[in-house]
Amino acid sequence: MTIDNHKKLVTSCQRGDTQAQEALYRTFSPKMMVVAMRYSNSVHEAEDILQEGFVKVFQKINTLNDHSKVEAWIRKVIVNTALNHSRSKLYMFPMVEVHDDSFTTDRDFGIPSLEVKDLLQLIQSLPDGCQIVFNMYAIEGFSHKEIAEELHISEGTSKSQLSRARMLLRDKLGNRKGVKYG
Amino acid sequence: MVENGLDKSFNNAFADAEYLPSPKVWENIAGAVQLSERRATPIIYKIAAVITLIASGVVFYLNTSLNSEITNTGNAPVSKDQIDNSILESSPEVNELGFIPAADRILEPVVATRLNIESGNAVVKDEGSIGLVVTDNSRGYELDVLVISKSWNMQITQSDFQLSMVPFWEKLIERKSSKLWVGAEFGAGNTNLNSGQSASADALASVSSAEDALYFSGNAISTTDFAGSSFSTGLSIGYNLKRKWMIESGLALMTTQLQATSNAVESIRGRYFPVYYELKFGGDLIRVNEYSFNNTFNYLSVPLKVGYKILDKRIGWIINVGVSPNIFLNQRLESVQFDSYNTSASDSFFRSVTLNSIAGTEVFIRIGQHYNLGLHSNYSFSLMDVTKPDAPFAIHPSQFQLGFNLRYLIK
Repeated sequence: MTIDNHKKLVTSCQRGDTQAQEALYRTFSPKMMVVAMRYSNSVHEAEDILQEGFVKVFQKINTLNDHSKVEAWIRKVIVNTALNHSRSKLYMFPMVEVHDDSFTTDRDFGIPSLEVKDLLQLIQSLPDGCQIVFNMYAIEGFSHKEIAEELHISEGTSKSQLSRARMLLRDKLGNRKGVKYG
Repeated sequence: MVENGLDKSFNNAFADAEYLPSPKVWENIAGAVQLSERRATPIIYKIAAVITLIASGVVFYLNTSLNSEITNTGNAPVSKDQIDNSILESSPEVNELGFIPAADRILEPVVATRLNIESGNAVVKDEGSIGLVVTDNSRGYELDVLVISKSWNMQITQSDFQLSMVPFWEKLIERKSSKLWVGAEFGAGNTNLNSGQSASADALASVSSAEDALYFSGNAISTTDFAGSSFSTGLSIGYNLKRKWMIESGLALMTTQLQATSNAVESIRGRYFPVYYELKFGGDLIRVNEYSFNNTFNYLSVPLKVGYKILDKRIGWIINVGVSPNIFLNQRLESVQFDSYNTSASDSFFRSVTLNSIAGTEVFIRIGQHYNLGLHSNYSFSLMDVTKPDAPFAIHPSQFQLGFNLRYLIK
């Protein structure tokens, strides 16, 4: 779909056209789902983020002036929504452990590329703090200062979390494939 | 920022990655967007807005200075001499007002034993007004309506003062102002979270205590029903500043009850999933069909209001505006699916103190010498998020309440 089509979709969405809203969702939801999955620990949690994020998109789409940047704007909304979820995770981190036998770890992420699937699993296996900081820094392109402001932590904490994330990822990758990453 | 080789690998891998979410996601989004559009402007707020607009217009109109000039048809001014001087002396209201009621007396009946207009055809120029004049003649009291307009250039004649016989108004026109009053009031109405969230259940569930979040964690997948109500009971005290202005304060217990139903709840880190924490490997889903809960918040409200008395007789009408610091007392979350929880401000997502704006109106009737029974409506809107900055959702609720009050007038 071309940028012109994106612009038309946005214009229609701003008029409240429900068909255009669905078309916009169909166009961008697959990519945004991956964004949400990087910040979550399960498909269901990612779908929650996606759902909440797209509702915000449709509620706020009238504020979007540059229609050609709709993808970047939606991505920003999804990331912010994911960060809201992440903040509550960090807030609740100390938890009580109680056993439950119904838990299962059999999962299939369904991403065609095994590499992506593996990388996604690796990110999701990181501790919450490392996962969020790595996503924000390495993939979203936030600076440590921006991360610190967004998560109400110090820049030093952000840096140390990133280092720890890289170390854990290198170890896990090394164990799986024997590949060394810089 | 992506200068690291490992970072680049991940960045490149995810650049064009796609994953199709399940169909139910779009269904939930479509439902939530439709719901939020329906909630956008509740009819009750539209009605409140119209009432406020009309009340504001009336106040503005009544405050307009008249400075009317009355002339004969020959353009010679009509002076007070043309009104029976002996009658004026016995009627200070008329003496004070002059022939045309001053701006601050508009819509208040003017007491006079008799108005005697010598010139039968007075022409009114200048700004317009609407006024009531009660006259007394040998047949009893008469209620007369003066409609004066610059544009109409209306001629007032003797016949204008022969409209109706209404001895009933004799009681109405008794002024019953008291300087100080105390009262008790009760109100009930609806509430709107204004959370901007798709699923109210999600917002409600998440703005709970740390322990509550073990169960909810912001993962209510969809909301199928939502209702919010609010109640307040309190004591009030007021003081009349001038003839038409008053200040009012008090203490009220505000209770907001929100009920929501979701079709599923997922726990991603609950106490029932220790393995999850060990592996950090995604959560299992707890599906609870028709999951519902009640969320009750209690606030202590200290309203500070300024009121303007449009009418202050046996029947009165007041409009008021003000602010109200609200002190968060506690929150109670109840559901048949789990144990109930009470949280205080310190361990919840709510701020200890928030500030609300208030606007309202009230009509009352005098009962006996010392009591007013009133009906009031209030609209309040939080001027700040009631949730803490680190809360997962920002909420600034608004409320509309109708209620009644009983006041004791202290001389």
